[in-house]
Amino acid sequence: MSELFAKYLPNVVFQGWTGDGGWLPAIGQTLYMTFWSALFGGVLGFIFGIGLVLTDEDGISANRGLFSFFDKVVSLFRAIPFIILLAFIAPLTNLIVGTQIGTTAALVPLSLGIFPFYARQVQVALKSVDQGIIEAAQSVGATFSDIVFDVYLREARSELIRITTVTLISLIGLTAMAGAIGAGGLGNMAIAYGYNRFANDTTFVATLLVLILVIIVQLVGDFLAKIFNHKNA
Amino acid sequence: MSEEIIKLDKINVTFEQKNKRIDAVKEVTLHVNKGDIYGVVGYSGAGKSTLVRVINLLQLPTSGRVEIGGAVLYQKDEQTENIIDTKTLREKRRKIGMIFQHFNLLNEQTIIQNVAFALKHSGLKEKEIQEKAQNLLNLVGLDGRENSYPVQLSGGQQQRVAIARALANDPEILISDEATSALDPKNTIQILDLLKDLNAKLGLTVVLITHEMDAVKRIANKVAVMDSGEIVERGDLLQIFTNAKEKITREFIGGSAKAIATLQDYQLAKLQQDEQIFQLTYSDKNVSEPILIRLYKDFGVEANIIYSNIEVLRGTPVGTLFVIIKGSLENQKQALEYLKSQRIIITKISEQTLVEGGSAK
Repeated sequence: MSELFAKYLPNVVFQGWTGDGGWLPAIGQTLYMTFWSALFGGVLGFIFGIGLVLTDEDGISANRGLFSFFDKVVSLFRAIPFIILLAFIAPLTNLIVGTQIGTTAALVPLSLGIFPFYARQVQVALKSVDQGIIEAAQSVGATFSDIVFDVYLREARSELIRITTVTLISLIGLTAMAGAIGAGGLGNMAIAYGYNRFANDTTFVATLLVLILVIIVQLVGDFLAKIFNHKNA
Repeated sequence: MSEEIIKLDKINVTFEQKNKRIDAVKEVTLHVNKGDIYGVVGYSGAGKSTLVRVINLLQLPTSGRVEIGGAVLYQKDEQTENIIDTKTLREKRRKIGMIFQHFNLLNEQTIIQNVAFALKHSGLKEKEIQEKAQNLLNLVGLDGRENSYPVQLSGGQQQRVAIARALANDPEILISDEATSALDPKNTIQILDLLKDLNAKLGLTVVLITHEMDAVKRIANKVAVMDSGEIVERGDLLQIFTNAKEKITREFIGGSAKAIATLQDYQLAKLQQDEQIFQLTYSDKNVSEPILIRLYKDFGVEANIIYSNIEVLRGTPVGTLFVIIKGSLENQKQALEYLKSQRIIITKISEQTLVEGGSAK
């Protein structure tokens, strides 16, 4: 088996499991970046998404000023291409994590890159909750938090899982780009060790691993979305 | 029974759009007595839904006064504006149940959770909430289905869940906003009868918004007809039914208006000198007498039936007859006295009405 690998995937084997440029650290870095930026960007996106729905004209706390703020911030960050964002916010990154390069430094642009995307998706998911259901909840004297948690978030649960899946997959794509600022990960492996050194087998295996990661996320997401959906039996 | 539980006074609701002003409700005053089933009918866009949403302030009016069960929830005129605080409003809303055309249940919660949701702030313990929710589901005939999700139920069953939810906080008022409009005829009748039942058993005051006159005829005791944001006619069901003044009311009610239209269309009412035409309205309480025979035998008056119809109002059959009465004036007068003594409602229809104006539409 290992002879077969050595023959057909020499560069892959050359990278080794561990050490600088090894496969395990690369996988670890991708997972690390995906996890933390999903957390930070996710929380930020979630807050903005809910804010957009609640403060909208027909929302339960309509507020033109706040809505406009959420809307403008989200639109602005969505408009900046990610690869430029990486460079553009380097000073801010430096301020927050104390360095501009490396895996941890990538978390800042990754979080800021993914949150507007997620915010818009959350907005659409929550908007899909029938206004009539909210009205019915108000008619039985539901409080603000009842409506946010028991109505909006619970009713849109399955949809939220679905969009979170889509966002995670986009985020995995962004982590590959973050390799450009020395963040490491499978993207860096495919480009720096594979493409740049004409080691096509390395590129191939790195891509394959990213694909596997994406498929796992997709399958888990689909499964959860299905479990939590009682709308269409 | 004449306590006014809902008092809407001079309600205006205006929607401002970019360069348009829409007066959805104009200067409407509506008082509903405790224990009434008050039907509000009108075409789509007449403002009925907007008006009833003012009752629980789901729709904030532009001006007017809202008093529910003696408490002023909203008051605004030129000088003062007074809106009840949010917390008290929530408590008041719990005493005003509401059901909707599309049920509006929480799809991701079982039906017992849907009912329990309304009880979240009732101060009851979790166990008591479950018990009460179960009792309410039993009340609307859904025992055994408590763990189903709404999508697993038929439309009629979903509306029953919505009714159970609306009744959760023992409200005194139930607002039904086109609640039967999305249901098939059989479910419509069952839901209407359930509402009537609740009205009788719990003394629930019902405000019934609908564009289906049949629903109103079946259970309401009072009716208001809305057109372009205004109430154009209102009164007791029977009164409106037998004596509608506005054209739009007649379109909705059918009844005598339909008869007049028919008579006009076919020109059935050609009168001679000694003839008059009357509309006779009678209920099941006065059908035992063979009245038309008596007219002839006792008074020498001939009665020629040109139209007849029976409708059921609140479970009571109400018949409408259009007759041409022929005989000497003195005899006719006596005959009419006799009919009145039989508690038959008599309306003289002038020949004019039947010739002029074309049909109701």
